[in-house]
Amino acid sequence: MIETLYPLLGSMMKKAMLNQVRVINEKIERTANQVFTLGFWKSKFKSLITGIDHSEVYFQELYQSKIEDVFVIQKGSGLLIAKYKLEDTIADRDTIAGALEAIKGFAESVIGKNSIELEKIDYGEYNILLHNYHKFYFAVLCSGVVGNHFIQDVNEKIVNYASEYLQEIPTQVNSLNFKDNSENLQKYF
Amino acid sequence: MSEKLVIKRKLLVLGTFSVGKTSLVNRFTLNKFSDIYVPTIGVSIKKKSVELEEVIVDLVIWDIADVATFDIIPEHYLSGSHGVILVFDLTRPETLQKTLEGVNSFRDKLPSTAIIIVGNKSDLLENSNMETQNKEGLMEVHTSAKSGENVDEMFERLARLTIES
Repeated sequence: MIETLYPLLGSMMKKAMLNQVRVINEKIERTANQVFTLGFWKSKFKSLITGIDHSEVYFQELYQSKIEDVFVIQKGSGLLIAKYKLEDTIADRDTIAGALEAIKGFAESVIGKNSIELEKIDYGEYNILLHNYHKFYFAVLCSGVVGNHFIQDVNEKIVNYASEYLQEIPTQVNSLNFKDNSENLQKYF
Repeated sequence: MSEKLVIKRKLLVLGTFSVGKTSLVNRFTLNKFSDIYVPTIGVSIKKKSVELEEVIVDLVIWDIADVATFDIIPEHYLSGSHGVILVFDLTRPETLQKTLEGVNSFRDKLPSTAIIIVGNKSDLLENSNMETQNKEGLMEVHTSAKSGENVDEMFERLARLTIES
């Protein structure tokens, strides 16, 4: 069972979300600057070589980022078009997909600008990255520290899959000709 | 023997407070009933598959919290739905009135969506027809979430309607 809140205090929520993002950002930077371990210097060296921000490299090594689950969800209905799982930990992906749609719809209606779409949800130790297309979107459940480099990598996988199967992805999941696209999704993740 | 096609359908369950929306969904999906009234906050999503002759229908059921009028239900809840269950309480006639007021609003917003009107708590009436055709021309099915009477049949009927519509 999935329950989703629909609070009416939109502006308060927006303010709280922004504040939370600022606090987390400050916390990461402070910790990265204070810890002097071998791992810290190793990551510093890697950062210099790769050009990726040091705090991102350091935290990625401490908390390795990993894709846990991938959902392709029809916009509006929240029905699941395709799924890919690394570990079978989630019992019912159809209800998860519906809940994600409800949360996404709520957040976008609070912000109130049609062109802005929700791109990320923080959920405890997990992050859910959302990659939007016209009639469907990808929701990628990730564990560990999710930095920009990792997000870029995930987006690349999504674009590669989408460019190959964009025509095949059933945008009308309600059609009697609906064909689950999960098999193709597995090749890319 | 060929495997049956699996299709998905989004259903909405709507109605005024304490008519038994969540009880109906719980009876259908979990085969459970509780006398304790716990109002739903926001939306509760559950799923159950129904096997028909030709296809298997995965019903993703959005049980939506009580609203004062159907006009204020957020658009994104309604979007992409295939079937609507409008629930009223057979022991409170005013809840039927409220439901009928909502029908026209849904016909405008969701023209191709199958709608079914459900009078719940039939166990509290001495005599209740289990099905009638109301003056709006819509099918009115009577159920009891408590005893389970007609609950599975109602969901199955709506699943069928969503395929036909």
